[in-house]
Amino acid sequence: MISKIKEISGLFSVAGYESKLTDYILKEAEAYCDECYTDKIGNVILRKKGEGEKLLINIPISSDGLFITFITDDLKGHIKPIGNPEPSKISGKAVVNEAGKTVGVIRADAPDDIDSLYIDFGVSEKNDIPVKEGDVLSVKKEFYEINNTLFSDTVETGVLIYIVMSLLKDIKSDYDLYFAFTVMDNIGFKGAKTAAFSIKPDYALILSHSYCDGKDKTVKRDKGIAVRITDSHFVSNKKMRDFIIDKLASAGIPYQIEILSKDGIVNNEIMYMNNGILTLDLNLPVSGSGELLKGVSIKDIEAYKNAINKILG
Amino acid sequence: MLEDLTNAFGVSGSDNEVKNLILKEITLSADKIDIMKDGNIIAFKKGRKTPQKRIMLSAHTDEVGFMVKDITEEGYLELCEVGGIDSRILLSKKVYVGDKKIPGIIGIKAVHMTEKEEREQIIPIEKMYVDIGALSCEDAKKYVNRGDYIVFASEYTPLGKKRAVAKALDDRVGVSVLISLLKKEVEYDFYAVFNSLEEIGLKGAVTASNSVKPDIALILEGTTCSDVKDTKAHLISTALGKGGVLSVGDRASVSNRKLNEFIVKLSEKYNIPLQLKGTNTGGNDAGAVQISGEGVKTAVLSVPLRYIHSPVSVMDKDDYESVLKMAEAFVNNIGDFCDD
Repeated sequence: MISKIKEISGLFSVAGYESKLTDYILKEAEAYCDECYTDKIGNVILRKKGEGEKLLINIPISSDGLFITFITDDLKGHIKPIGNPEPSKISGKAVVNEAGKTVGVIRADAPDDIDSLYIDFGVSEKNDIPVKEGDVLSVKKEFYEINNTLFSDTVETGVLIYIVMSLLKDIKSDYDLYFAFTVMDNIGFKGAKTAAFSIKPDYALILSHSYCDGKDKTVKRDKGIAVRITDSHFVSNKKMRDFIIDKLASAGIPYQIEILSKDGIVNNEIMYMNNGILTLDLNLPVSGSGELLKGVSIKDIEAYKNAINKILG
Repeated sequence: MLEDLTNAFGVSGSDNEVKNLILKEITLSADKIDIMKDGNIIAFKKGRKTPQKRIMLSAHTDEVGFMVKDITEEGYLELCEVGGIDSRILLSKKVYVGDKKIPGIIGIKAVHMTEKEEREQIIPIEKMYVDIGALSCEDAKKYVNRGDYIVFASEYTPLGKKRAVAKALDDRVGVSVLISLLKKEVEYDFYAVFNSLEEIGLKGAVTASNSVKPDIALILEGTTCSDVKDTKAHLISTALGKGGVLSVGDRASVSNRKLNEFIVKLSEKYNIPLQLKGTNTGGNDAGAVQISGEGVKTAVLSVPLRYIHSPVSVMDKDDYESVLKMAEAFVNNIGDFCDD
């Protein structure tokens, strides 16, 4: 499990440039789905046919990144963000290109000013610079297993993809299941919107993460799957949330309720699409709010997998 | 044509003058023209071949401006913005108000009546007014009304050997390119969309793309150009005279990578100057088109414009020609684009 999560977490996933990750998902999933395809905007959709109502399971997969805007004569590669990477957090970090090659280190004249950040390529000749203007880069991802917790830059995405992949083979459901691994959601309501538009589900479950150490601090580590019932983008339908909670409670599966007064995930806007799609978030407890390295406990991974299997089955 | 287009009155919500000019230009060259309920113009151009994917090129017809919010007892017009405008550039500008184009001046209280702290701050638009020379509120109401649109009074003027200054180059440059394209023989069918309400939040593009349902869209725009004094080299978004501008991404969208690569290859094949946009600020109709329906592959091609969103935007005519040639190369080769 851990080596798979490490592999997935390490794949290049900058918004608009997710093909390494989407190719992986398709390759791993195609033997276990009735349909699998990449849609026009780059989302990967996997379908397991069922006779019942259409259920969309949405996993957002994109991450923040950078692109090279200008290379100076003194060999500095100036950058602009894709998404909202925090300048002070990425300063001093190594960066990789889409092929996974480490190409330089981020330096900053003023660590809080994104315009002062540039890439130090470690070269003395312009011809040796391994990138060109327009190239997209990602902070080089780290991965650690410390005291039964996995830490990585995009560990939450790696875990969620791993869990869905591992359930795909054996899951039996009455629902007509559409797993949508959606792109560019970290820069707005993008991939999730187009996926929901084309699939036209009756219900949607967003599989994402909740911070144990965020501002609201309503979610705790090792206390079970977080059922988010409201955030700044939506208020869940009470019947749907009670249905999900009853399913978990009657199976003795631990869960916790999350109420977010601010922030949230834009994918919840699915709730207000088409003729209305009842939507709920089912989130993985994660530490590292505002930090590059997020942490997920192995206990929470197993509990989450168990919970999703129960809900979909 | 660009001169007529930029001189026309076309603030978001009131751009019929621009649309009438467009219709006059394209009536004989488009194979089909539809006018949507909200005023978007959708023209279809038949090429020598029909591509497998539905192709759309679009430009927005509206410009930034103002609206009469209220009329004071003394006959001054209080104004509010329509679209994003830097209030620092507004003082003493000449404007036209309403359909009758009543001339006016944007003013504030005299400097000798201001406090030191006021003089050291950027004056917000709320403290400004338009003076149309009215003697009173009653007098002003003979000529203008609350809700009338206000546009910069600025005429297209050549500047130097190959540059020009005008208002509304954003995005009359795109409109002009699209009109020119419709007048040419092209290889592949495409939809030319002249949509409105971009400056107030990409609205017209939503309905237009819902109607056309493109697979691939090239957005033609005017974009920021910051190659001016005191700008550090790495903060220059684009530069005049370096060709049309290709965007990687901005606040509203990330361009389709493969489509961008295709455009770069075309620029090399046909030796058309092309530059990369060096910032990610702003946004344009690609933000709406990309996520319409089941998703659209989008790219953005722009003419660099100094002093954008002002009555004195400056463009280089060679850059405009580069964008026109690039757009023509795009519609003539798009059948070869493969994203599989």
